[in-house]
Amino acid sequence: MKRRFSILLCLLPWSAVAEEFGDTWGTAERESAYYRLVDIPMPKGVYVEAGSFDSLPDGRLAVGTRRGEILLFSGLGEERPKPVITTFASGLDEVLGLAWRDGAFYATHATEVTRIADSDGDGRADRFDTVSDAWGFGHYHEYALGSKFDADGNLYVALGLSESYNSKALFRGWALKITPQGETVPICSGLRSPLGVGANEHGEMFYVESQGPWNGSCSLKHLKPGGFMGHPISFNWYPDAPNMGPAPVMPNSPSRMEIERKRVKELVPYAVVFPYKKMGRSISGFEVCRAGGKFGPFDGQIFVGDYTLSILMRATTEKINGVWQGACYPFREGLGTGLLSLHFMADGKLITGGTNRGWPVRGMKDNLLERLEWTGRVPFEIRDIRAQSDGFVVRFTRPADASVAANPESYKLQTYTHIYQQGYGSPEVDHTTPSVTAAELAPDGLSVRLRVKGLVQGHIHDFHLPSFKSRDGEMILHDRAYYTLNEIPKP
Amino acid sequence: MTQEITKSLTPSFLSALRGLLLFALAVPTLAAAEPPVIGGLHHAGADRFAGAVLAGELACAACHSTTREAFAPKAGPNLSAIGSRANGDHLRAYIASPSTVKPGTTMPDVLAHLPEVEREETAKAIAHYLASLGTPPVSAPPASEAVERGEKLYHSVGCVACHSPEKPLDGSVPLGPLEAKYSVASLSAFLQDPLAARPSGRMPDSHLDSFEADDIASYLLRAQQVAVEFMKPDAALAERGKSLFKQHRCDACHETGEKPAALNLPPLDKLRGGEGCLSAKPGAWPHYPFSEEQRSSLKAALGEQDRAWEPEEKIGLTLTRMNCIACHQRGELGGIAADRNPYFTGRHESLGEQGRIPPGLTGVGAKLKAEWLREVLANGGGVRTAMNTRMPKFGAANTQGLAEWLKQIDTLPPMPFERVTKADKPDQVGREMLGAKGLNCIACHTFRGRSAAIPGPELTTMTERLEENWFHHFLAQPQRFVPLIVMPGFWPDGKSTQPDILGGDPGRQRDAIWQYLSRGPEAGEPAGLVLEPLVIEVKDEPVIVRRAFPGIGKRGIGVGYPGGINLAFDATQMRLATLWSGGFIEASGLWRGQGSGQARLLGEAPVQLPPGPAFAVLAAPADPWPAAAAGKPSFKGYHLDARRRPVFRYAPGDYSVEDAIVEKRDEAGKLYFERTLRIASPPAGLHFRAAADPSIEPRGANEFVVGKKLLIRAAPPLLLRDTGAGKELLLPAAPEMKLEYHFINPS
Repeated sequence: MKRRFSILLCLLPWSAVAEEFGDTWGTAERESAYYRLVDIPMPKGVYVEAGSFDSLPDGRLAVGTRRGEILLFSGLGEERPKPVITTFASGLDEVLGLAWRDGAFYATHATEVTRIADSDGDGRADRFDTVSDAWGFGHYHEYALGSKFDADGNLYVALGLSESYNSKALFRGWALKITPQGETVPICSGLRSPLGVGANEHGEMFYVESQGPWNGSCSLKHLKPGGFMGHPISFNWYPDAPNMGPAPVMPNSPSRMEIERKRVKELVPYAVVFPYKKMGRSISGFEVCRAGGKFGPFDGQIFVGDYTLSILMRATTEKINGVWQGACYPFREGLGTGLLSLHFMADGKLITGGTNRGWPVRGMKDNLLERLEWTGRVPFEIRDIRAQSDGFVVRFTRPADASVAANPESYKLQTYTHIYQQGYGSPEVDHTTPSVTAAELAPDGLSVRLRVKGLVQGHIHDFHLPSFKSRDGEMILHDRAYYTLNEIPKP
Repeated sequence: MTQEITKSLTPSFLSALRGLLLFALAVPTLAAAEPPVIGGLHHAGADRFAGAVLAGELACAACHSTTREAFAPKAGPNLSAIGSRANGDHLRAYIASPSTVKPGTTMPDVLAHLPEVEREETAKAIAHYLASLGTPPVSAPPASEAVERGEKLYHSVGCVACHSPEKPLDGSVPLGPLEAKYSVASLSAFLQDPLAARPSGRMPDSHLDSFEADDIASYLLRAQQVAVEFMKPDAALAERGKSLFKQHRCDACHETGEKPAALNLPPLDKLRGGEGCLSAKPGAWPHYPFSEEQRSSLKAALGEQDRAWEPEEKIGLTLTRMNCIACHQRGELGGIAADRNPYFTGRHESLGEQGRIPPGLTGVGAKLKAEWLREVLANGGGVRTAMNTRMPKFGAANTQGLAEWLKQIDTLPPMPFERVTKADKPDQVGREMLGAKGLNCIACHTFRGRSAAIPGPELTTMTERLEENWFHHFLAQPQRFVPLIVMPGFWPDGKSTQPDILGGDPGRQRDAIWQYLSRGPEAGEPAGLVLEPLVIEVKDEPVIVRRAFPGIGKRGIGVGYPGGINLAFDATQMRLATLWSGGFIEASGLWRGQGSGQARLLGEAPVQLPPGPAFAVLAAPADPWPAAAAGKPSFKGYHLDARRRPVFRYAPGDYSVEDAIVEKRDEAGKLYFERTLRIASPPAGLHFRAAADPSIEPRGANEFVVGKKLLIRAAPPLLLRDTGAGKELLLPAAPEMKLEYHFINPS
């Protein structure tokens, strides 16, 4: 599509069409039949720029805001929500991580992780204890993103670079682990501009990275302990992290991830690449859907938002030959604000929120929480894609029409990668067109085994399934998916 | 009037009397009832569509089939959940005699031909059936504050474009006795999604959120003193009602989730005028209390030859049926009636009529892009945020044709212009033209939702909404499109007011603006977009804001105390950094854009206390104060005391400090800070530096004037010493130290 556009540009006498923002998927209206967006009305005097969410045991939703508050919402589950809101805490600084444990919040905000508790039981916080501040800060653009607790009670903090390009203060561009004992352990270097950190569907810690230097596109990355996430500007802090050993060798630029990861042994390849513009421009907070079917057919998948394009996407991951990789899928567009965070509430509804200031954003509203709920109709969608030694298994949410799905020629597959370089972003490069030699549709029509000639390790495999129909004649809702093939499974 | 008489009569006598009256006076009674009110037909220019509008709005073709598009029947309310919406007691009375209970209703009386007793029984059974469809929500009676808010909303968001304001107006679509029909909860639910209950879109969706809907429902039901109890349906009666509902063909207009019964009635074209429904005679057909005028327009329309309607006629018919013309004018059709005009209000008088009167629809198809036009009609999209009246949502199904016809026939001749090439930097030129030093468009239009002064239509979505050709025509001569428009023409007599830009070529200048706006959300901000200050007010308890403060950097903690004294604590250096009295802070630097600035301190000029460590171990009392902390200081957090004032906790070295600062009043009633420092096991030689300033003057044994604006009071021993560069006030550390900080106001 991009290439077609540049041809158009040559023909046109001018070129200032609003292209930079990327086209929409054009599916919003159809999506709404399956997933309905409901704006949460905001009472007067409440201003929410949601940076993080968590649910309390009593069902209330806690929202950590950019303006440093923790707000508690009840009444969000109603068909027509009419929230009752109380301010639990204020006076924090960009709450971009929020986790509740044992009667207290653990809020990750600009300069520290703080335990916040209500010791006199009046419903408002009165104790703010610094849990960790074992990192440096000086510039406003040094964001700190926090996770929920992992199974062992650890929290993870992902620290953005200074001024988004440098690492001027301790551990800028690093991920830290905070143990239940309060110890802070540096675990990964090489982060650039994280906008979310949390567990994947298998409980492993991941974070989302934004396109920029050393990142050709946005991606989900595995926070492999000891790993280097790709941006070498933060190597200067290895002496402060003796547990991490010596700094890795410097990656070459320009190069390819697939080449450099063989040279730089700590370099962890991007697990799921979100091709720029097609799949967001600043992917942000994510969470695994554990709605037990209340959110439709996507239980156990990662849902991730995008700040710039105000869209939601899905992702799935799998570990192949010891390396995490997986695919991303379009899900829902047309949200009203720039998404920073999302959260599945206990009733299986997805709450989203964010902000509209500071950076370009398509959803222009501020002070907006939106709830996304399943209407009960199952869309005909690509459920997920898994790599095989000689191709892929594509699963559908409903039985696919065999006349298309069992025909190998129906699958438009291409591959490409990005330049791994110090410069900002990258075009898609090294395109190949593998051929689908067989498409074996399961008798139930719910999955197809694709035999593919020409898999390319290290490339994104870009699936296009045009005019796919379900067995009962419904058009596929989104006909695209993108699998990052870091490793090809051994036969 | 009938109701007043009935109060004094026994039910059995009454019913006998009513039967007698009806028998004797059936025809005159029906004729005397108020004819059905169709809102759109009360507007200028709508007469020519009267017959077709009546045929459609009264749903003739729901029973009598027709191929004529113009007579497409309006769907009646969807009743599949009516039991959760309306009280069965009301439904019983309404079904028994619709236009008595709700004068002006479009629902016909389908039971008029039945004997009184049978009619009452039938209405009752159907009401029980309907009451069984759904469960009423729990509700409370209206609260008086909600009634007040609701009254304002009802009279401003657009309800009174069709319905009667507090002061009754002719031609209003009747509401009927709402307090008998709804509870606050059920009416609120209806108002939040009217299209679910009334899919025809005649009652469109005004985007009321749950708070607003509650308020309007409370206002409309203000007569309810107690929470209404809906009638409890009787299962046997409901069962009977279900079959009566079909038998009387209610299902021809109303969806209940059941399959409607087949109708075997003559097609519309075969009807004889003056018979059946169109007559005033009683019989086994729906009875409409038509006016003579209505009857003759209907007859004329039905008698007319079938023909293909022109798009402009179809547009006019649709605008009248949907009553778009209650708010909008297209050509000679419609426009706001004089008696409703005062209810159209805006929030910015400086926008003039454009800030309160919905835009005209003449030529709208040439103005709006197809996609946006559909969005406006189907979903009530809009950009006129300063207008109180809301463009409601009519639903895609009800507006599909309208959008197509408008695009089809509204055209403007192409306006030639020369495209600005990249070399001439259209983005940059456009941006300059929009800014305060150019045409200053941002003075009256929002830019990315932000308004410099007047929030007129959003700039960064214009190219998504507007046809490029219209944009050129409009900018060239805005008054040609809206005669009294507030917006000035920037190219008077076809000449640019900015001759230095792009050679003063109007077409190129407009194109540069268009190209720049095409960048949409990515368009760089024009100069001069100054925003309202974000003042953080302190009321009856302290307010804490953590972020960058002047002289502190990123880890500042500002505290505004009630009464108007403030401090900022430096959580990196663990020191009280700044004291000031008066207003607390303005937060644009923290909470606008990327938040790259710092808090702007309000109030009196602040007192800055010295940077660097506040605690230090001095081996000898004469040793110089260190520039940096010896150990690794750490911030432990804070807790709030009973009045929510912070008690900071930190460890400057291997000892910890609790630092409580509270506001107090002196004998003159003036606020000052009292600070208590508690140090657990202070090391030998530990000192606290209270101040460092070129000028520190003692006033007696325990008072020191620091600079010109601060007085520090503390218990002795205090150590005032000269550093060469100025003076320092030190206190040898004790497990508990108390200090006071008094502001000296300029005299």
